[in-house]
Amino acid sequence: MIRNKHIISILSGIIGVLGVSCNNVPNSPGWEYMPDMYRSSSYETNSGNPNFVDSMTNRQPVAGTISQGWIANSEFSAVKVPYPYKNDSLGYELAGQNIKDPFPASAEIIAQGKERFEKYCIHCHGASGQGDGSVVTVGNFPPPPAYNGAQLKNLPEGKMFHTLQYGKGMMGSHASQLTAEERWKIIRYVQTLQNPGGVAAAAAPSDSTKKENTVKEKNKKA
Amino acid sequence: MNCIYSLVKQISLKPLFLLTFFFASLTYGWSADGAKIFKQNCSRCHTIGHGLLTGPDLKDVASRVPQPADTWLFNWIKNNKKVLASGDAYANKVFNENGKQNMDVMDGVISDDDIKAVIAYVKNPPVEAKPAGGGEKTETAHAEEKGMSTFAVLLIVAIALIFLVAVLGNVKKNLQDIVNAKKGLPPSEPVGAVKWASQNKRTFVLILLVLGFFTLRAIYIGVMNIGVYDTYKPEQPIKFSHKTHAGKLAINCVYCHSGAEKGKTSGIPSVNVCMNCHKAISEGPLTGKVEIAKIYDAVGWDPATGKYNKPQHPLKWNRVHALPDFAYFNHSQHVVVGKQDCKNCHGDIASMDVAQQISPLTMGWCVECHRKTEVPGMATNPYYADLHKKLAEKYKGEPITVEKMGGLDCIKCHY
Repeated sequence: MIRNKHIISILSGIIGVLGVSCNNVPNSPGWEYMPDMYRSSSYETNSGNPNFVDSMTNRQPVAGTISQGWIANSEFSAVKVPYPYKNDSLGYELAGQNIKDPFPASAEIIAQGKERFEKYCIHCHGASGQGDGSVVTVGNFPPPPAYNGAQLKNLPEGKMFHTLQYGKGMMGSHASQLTAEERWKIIRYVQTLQNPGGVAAAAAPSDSTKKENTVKEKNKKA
Repeated sequence: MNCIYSLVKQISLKPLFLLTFFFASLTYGWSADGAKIFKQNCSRCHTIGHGLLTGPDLKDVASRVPQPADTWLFNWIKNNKKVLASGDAYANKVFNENGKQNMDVMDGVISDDDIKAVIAYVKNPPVEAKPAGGGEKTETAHAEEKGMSTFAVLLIVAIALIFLVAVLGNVKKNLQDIVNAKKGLPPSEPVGAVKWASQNKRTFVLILLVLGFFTLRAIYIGVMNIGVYDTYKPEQPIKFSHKTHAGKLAINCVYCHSGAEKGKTSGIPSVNVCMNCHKAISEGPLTGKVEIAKIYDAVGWDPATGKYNKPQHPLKWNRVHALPDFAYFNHSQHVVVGKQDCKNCHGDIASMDVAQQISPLTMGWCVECHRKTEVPGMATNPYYADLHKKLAEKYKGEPITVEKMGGLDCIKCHY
């Protein structure tokens, strides 16, 4: 009978191993030794939360509050308060007239803007800003106008920022993905695509040329 | 051949071209041209019969606007601001109804002929051929087992059967012994495997030892894999395909997971990021409209009115990569300073429909990488420049790995 006990222990061992290997199921994360140590009871980013009506841990900032970054980085934000213009035609025009890119059009800023552009814009607007990115060509998304086309060639930087803040047409707001500084840097790079050869070649156009462009834009409207 | 060629050459091509064009225009009502101009310039705000985007749906627009429609539409498209300024009642009504957003002025963007072509196209859009069985594409088959693998089930059944046979054989022998004892006969001989084992004790013990070794080994491997989830591939509330988005459409990882460069958690994009594209794309190649409608439901978007006017429902995504809470990991540190590609840890997500964990995310795996990896962003990052200079002096000529910077100290990750 001792021999039989051996067999039973071996069999139960094999069954046990099979039980352990059952955690190779795609839909289940498997077993943990000490779940209460592995997963503390604090709420993590993106986790659910029964204390809020909408059951989300991630909260919106309280209306009217300004994040600390705004004060620390105020030298980079052209408008010293959170974005002051409303999402309407008037706000769009005012932004075009009033707010300016706080960054110089230096080669360094343009390179940083390009790096951001290639992660956040290129798939719709295309590498050269012709509106031929992969989402448009492969995904059948309505094409955005070319940066150097008649509609956008002379678009002032304030209007670009307004568009990134609120979205325009089919383009959505990118304020939740890009900080104000990142957006201004992207705008510096986009300006080189608006005017290929012009800004890019000079790398740093004088302030007067920029003003001229803005004045032209204003005259055109008037 | 030559003869035919010269004959063709003799026929002036111009009338032929015109004839083709005439038939083409008969069929499409100039839409061949208009379609292209519409897609390039109008489709980002308007659809024809597919609901409201930024601008109104243009289906039957010619019957809605003041007559004669062609003239009114022409003036409106050319310079809508002028029409509004002239006090046109219908124009102002439309402007107010659509969030007081000015349409782009097309004067100077497209020619007058182009405008006429677009009007012709909008009045008479091509009838869309519905692909046969188009609605059948909603489910992509996921032939994955929901429980244990079939092999494991079969093996357990087989072992149970063998066990049963052994027990029954034993019972039979015992009963036979009792019967034999009553009849005064000697106990029956052991049968089958038991008989063999009692006769070949050495071999039997050897087999037991070998089996025991493999069993222990299997148990060891099984136990070591507890808490390692590198096959975890959970189904998600929306059948989102990374293969379509990151692969085919070549959208950069950080476009959606924008936290990866900015904070500890790379994050699941909030639904407003989905809506950057899906405001316009309501039908996907794999699952049709079903899955994209779940985004609209979550964000409270009403495609019929083009407004966010419904209640919102947060999506409960299943987290794939989850380190234990006692290990600290920061994405921005690895992505920005360490300049690690997403692929190094997450594998080729761009080729997966359903995201799966590839790396074991065990401590051994972390340590192995920290031992051999240099930090390319460190020398140029002003925050680390001093430290890097000191380390470069200390380890002359050797690569400065994460380990040399103290990346294996317990407290770096466990505190």
